[in-house]
Amino acid sequence: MWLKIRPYLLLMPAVGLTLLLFFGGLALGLLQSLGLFSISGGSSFTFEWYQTLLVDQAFWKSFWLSFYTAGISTLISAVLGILTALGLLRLSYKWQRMTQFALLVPHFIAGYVVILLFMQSGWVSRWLHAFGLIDSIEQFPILVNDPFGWGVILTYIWKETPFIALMVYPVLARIYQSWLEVAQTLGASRLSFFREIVLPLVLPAWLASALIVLAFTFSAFEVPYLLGVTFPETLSVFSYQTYLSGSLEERPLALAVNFLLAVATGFLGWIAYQWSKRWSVQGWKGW
Amino acid sequence: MKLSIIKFLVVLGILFFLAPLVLTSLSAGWRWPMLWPAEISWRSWEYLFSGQSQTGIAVFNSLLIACGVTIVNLGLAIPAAYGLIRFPLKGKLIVQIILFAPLVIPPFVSLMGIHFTFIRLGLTESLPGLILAHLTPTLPYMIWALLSSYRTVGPEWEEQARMLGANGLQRMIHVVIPFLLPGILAGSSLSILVSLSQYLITFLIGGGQVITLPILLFPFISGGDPALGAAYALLFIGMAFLALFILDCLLKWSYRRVN
Amino acid sequence: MLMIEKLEKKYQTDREFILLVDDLQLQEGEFFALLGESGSGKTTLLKLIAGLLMPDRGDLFLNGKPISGLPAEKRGFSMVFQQPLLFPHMNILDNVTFGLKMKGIGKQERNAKGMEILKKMGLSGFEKRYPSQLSGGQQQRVALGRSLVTQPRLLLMDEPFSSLDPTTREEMRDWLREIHRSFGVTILFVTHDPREAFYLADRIGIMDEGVLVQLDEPRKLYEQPVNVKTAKLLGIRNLIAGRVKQGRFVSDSGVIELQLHGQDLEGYLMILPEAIRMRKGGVAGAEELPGTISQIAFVPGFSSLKVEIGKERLEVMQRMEDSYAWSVGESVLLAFNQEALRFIRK
Repeated sequence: MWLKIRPYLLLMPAVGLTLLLFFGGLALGLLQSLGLFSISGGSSFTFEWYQTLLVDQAFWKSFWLSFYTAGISTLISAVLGILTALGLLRLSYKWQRMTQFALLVPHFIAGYVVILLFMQSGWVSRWLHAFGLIDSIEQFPILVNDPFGWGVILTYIWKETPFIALMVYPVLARIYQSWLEVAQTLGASRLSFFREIVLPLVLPAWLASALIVLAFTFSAFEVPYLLGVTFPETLSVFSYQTYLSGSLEERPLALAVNFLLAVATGFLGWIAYQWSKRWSVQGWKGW
Repeated sequence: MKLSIIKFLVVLGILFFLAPLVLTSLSAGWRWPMLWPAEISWRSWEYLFSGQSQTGIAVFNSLLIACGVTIVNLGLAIPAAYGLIRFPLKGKLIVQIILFAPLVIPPFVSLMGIHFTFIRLGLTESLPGLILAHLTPTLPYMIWALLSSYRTVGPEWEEQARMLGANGLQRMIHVVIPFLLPGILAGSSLSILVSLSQYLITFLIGGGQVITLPILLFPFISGGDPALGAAYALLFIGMAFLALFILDCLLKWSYRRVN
Repeated sequence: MLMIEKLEKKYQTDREFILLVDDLQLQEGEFFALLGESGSGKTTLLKLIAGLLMPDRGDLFLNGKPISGLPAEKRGFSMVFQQPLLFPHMNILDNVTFGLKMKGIGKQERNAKGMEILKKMGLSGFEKRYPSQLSGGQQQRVALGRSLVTQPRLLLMDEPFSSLDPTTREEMRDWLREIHRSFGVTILFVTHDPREAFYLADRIGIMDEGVLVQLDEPRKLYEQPVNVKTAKLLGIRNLIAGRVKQGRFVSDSGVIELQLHGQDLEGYLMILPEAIRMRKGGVAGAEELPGTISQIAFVPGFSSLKVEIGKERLEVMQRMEDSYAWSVGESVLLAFNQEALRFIRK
């Protein structure tokens, strides 16, 4: 008996706390967004807040902004990430550690550096002037706090490229170590080895890490808050503004946005998990 | 691509990242289009280390919360990871989904939902409340690090110890924990780093009353004094770097012991 | 066909070695084994020939043409490694035809050739399976098929059977001889197991600390190893230190004294266990040595005995044909076939 329940007892504190704090929070948020347990008193079940959202032009603008900034950042980071990982393969451990520096810096500081570099009076525009490529400050495009979200995208590329690189690096290193020599003796060039062997084998890990990045960039708050504009704003900023600056009555609206964010990111995470599982499904031995 | 080109890009990347922060923190009235500040001003650094600023208390709070969170995480994750690895388990998938969900679903989403409950329980604007709030984003990293560490060890060492007459507690102390040390240190690094970097969660639960480094830093970088913002950013990077460096030294030391 | 001239390469195991092969020539169609301990440089030499490593100095010629500058994929050799190293995301047929695909051969021709080779490997019906569904021996056969399908000018094998269990290993040996004969391919085979080398090879080269110390046909090698280390590597155990003086060998311990022609030299007497005749104790004849049995083990068909002569200990193999059972502690007399005694200089 004791032996049977032992693993469950071992897991209970961690699982219990996560259920209580995290899933409890999600559930409470969902209930409040449905009009229950309202802070402002009164408790009646309603879809009113979700209806408000779905007809709100601003909400759809926010959704679209969140979506394409996340999509563009993820796409570019995924490509640069795997190139970086290929470069890392040739470096010694000491140099690899230096690239981990990027993971040490939190997003808001990375965002701040992007501001200092790419604002109209930033360091990049000063260098362009020094090289005689622009004459006046206005000639440098507005890349920070711009309505399209270039600054946000730049920051995410800067931060997520090393993340993807470090996620796929171990897989990549193992593929090269195991199969490069045998493929070469069978007449494969470096390029065809990459196309025929590396790409199919690294794909699950690569896509999984890209999906995690997509989920993160779609829902993160700090970078669009620092580098975005007041309108349109991303879903996370929309939720934050509504929650803190709006009246108490409007809080369920923020929580409704939150719930949609949770569903979207949870869904992406689930696909990522399914992808990464493909390793074990085919039972690739020798790994 | 040549090796030296890759190395050059790495160094250039780091320099290009640090240079604007260093230059801005030392500047006063740095007008466009000058490449370098006309004169070096230590104003922001002097302010940073003066009694006027809340730097000291912010660093102290940040580290206190990070360490508190890490200790609680270890207490939760060591048994949990052990249970996940060493036993056949019904509902393993569900357990993993529960434990790792906060990695993809942003924790602030859940925290806004539970915010009101925190207020009622008197957990807001307090260090224990903040430690509790920081658990959600950090615990998955700790469990992840410990899981990979458990995987490399394998049960045979424990079985050997058992055949030599070691009971459960003795096996834990003399076999499992020493082997686990690299995982514990790696998990702690992640846990500390993630906790140090939390802004939104700290802001919601701390209500701006508990000052941590991100809380202090944020107003400066979102349109405040750029020189001060840059100085605080550098201070933050330095602090995170130092914390990781210490843990890394411990990690190397523990590896040497195990091998 | 393959000629090596003054090849030199620094390599590292637990310490740094320099591989130095002055002259080595492989004949068309022969089975050549490289025998050596781990760290002796045999795998390094194999990879130099494959083109996976580049030499620091020296040249390689294939049919008179230098190939040192060619990368591995352009040399037209192929290689079977210790592990099968099948590509996990490809089925068996795709694995076997990979080399043909790299040569740009069309899918139909490729698959036809692949099916044919799978048939020869005894793996018909496996083409749609994935590597993980095959046993270790089957995987290694696929790996060999994958190497042979491109009709390599030289097949390099790096201890290909060392990760298999003993029974499978013996089956694979027989099977490899069969394959070598029917394909007529030149094979360079690296191993640390002397029995494997003796069983398979036409010629054996012995490597030690990066140098090719001896090269000969298996039988000659076994009968006259160039030094003690080589003899030990070949699995020869009766090596007695001593010296030759005026036509007689005297062991250092003084207990063994036998007639032996040759110069006066210090070194080792090598006694092959099958060259020893043994009879029950009694009065010793000329050139007979008295001893005591200290250990008996049964090897199928033989008794393997340890006989102590004073401080020396000899291994003796006796056929189990006679019904007499030896026992431990028994006194015996040993006689030696003069032809089979060899002296190795220090």
